[in-house]
Amino acid sequence: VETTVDVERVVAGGAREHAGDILAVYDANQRDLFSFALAVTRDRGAAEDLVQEAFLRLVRETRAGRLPDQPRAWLYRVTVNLARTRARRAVVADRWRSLFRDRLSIISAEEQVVGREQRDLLRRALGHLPLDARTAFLLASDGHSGREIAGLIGKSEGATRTLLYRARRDLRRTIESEATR
Amino acid sequence: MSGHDRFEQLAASSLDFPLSDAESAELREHLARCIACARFEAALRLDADAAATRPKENAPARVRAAISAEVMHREPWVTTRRIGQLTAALVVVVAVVGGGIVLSQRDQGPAHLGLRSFSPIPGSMPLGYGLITDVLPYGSQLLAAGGSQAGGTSSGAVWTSSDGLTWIQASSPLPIGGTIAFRLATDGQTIVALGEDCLPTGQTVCGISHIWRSEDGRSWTTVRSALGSCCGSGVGVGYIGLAHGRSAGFVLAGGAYALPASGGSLIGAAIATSPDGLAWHLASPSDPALRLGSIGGVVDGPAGLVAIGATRASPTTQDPYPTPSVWTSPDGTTWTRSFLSTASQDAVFLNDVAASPTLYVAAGRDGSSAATWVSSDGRSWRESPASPSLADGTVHRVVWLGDAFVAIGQSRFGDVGDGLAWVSTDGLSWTRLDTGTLLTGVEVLSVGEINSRLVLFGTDSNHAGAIVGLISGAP
Repeated sequence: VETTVDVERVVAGGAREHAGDILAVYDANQRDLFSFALAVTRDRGAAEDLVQEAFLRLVRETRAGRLPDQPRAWLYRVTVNLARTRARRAVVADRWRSLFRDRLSIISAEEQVVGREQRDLLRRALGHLPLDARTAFLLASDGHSGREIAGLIGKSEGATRTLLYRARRDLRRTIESEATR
Repeated sequence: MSGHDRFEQLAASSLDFPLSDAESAELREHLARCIACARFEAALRLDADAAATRPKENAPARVRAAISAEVMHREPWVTTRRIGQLTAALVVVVAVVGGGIVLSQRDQGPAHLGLRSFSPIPGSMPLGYGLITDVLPYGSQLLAAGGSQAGGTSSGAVWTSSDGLTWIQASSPLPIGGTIAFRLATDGQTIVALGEDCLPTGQTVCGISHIWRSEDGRSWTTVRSALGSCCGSGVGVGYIGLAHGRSAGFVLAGGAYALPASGGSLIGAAIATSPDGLAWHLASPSDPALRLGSIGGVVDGPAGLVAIGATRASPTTQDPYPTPSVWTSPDGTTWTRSFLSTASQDAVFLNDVAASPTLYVAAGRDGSSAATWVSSDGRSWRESPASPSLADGTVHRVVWLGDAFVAIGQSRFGDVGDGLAWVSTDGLSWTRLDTGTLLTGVEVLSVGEINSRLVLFGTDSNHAGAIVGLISGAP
């Protein structure tokens, strides 16, 4: 659901005078955006940084009089770009940390839930997808249409259609492969 | 592209893009006569549903605070996490310059442990990126188990220390790469390590247990990688608890599950015993006393073995609040289950159990507070009273250190939060240890004692998962 913000009022007053509007955008979107960033990066600290940076950029855009017409879509686009940038400079330690966090989940009894294996299959299979494919699939899971995804990731609709097909196909193959081991 | 590939692509695209009328008709007609493609199309929809309904969570409150501060004050932006790093770095400098941090003068448990002051273990960062998930006294040394990265690959690892300050990794990593060890136990001579692996070995799957054995803490052999398998094909066991005692020797405890290909449902609590760490006897998880249970911790104590965990209503119930349960046994062979009685209307989770010569202490969470329960016989339990020191936290581990119980956990359960540690002499009244900012953003995973000093290990979310160690007492 797109959050409605009185763009004219916010731009005219500046960010400080309408902090409530900015925070309303945050409150309406942070849960979806943080969960999306978490699934894309598979790293809690990185997801936190991405979401924070995306919203702080929104604040700066507002100050500059450029509050986007559709803040939610804008935030997703910024988060996707930030995730790509981060991936290019990802260090081995980040991957290692994510790996350990996945494995450590067995330690707490709170994590012992029936069906854990099935959910883990999807989560692990997502980890095998390239970043662009994972991002596109998760955007689709968050309710974005193919056309919207194309706009968010900066590809043509045709290329996005192929990317999403391969993402869904490869995800399914990985799940089936792991499930039958 | 084969004919079937084209329809797979159409099936996938139909989830994201509107198909033309001709494409839709063509796809419908093909799916009606091609079972394989119809199954593929159905599986794609299941994957999409599973992803769309995956659990979502809020960003930490500090993100909103940072954005609010930026909006209101227009100060130069520094992320809250960067502030945390700077604060941590400052603390380290203070520790080095001042030779340690005296954080509180109030009572913090047994005086000989020096719990009023903590310092970073100087060598903890060079220990690398990974986890230290258990520590164990062994002779005059302290052993630490976990996993570390070497040469770009991961492996289970064991470190040794004679003073808690200097740690040496065992000469060779544990025999199976890509494995983490997370529990240790010893009878004074033989050491058993419990771990798990995500790599397939034979028919196993991620989470299946591995057991190693050592006579000196330096050289390790795999006991049986397939120990996790039990009860016929299609069943896997994930052990979580490991203990040693007079009642049954070494004891492993966890849960037995049907492998994903066989449905993935819970069968029951899994408990294996061994006199020497080599030959193991596994109780049937289908036993009425174990059925539909899963165990998080086990200990040998004054009245025999006690295991804690939860029992589910049915094998396939996605029940987030299973019934907290306790199992007792005089010998590791015969088990009796009882259900924890609690007046709380909130969800109760039991995560670990420890024992002194006279008392058992189970620990976990009651609603939004850390909580413990004490018992002299393992059957009748009394809950710790609510207190500010336990509020807004959860306990992951509890250990008995000779004259006090020490519990470790974290604030803001369900989020990374900050590491917490408590001390208690009776298991009911707990004092939160004042570690200043040394555990900010740190998940505390293990605790032990050497030379009358408390040692805490965790992983630092502000430093890409680097191992962090703290030691009590004068530097």
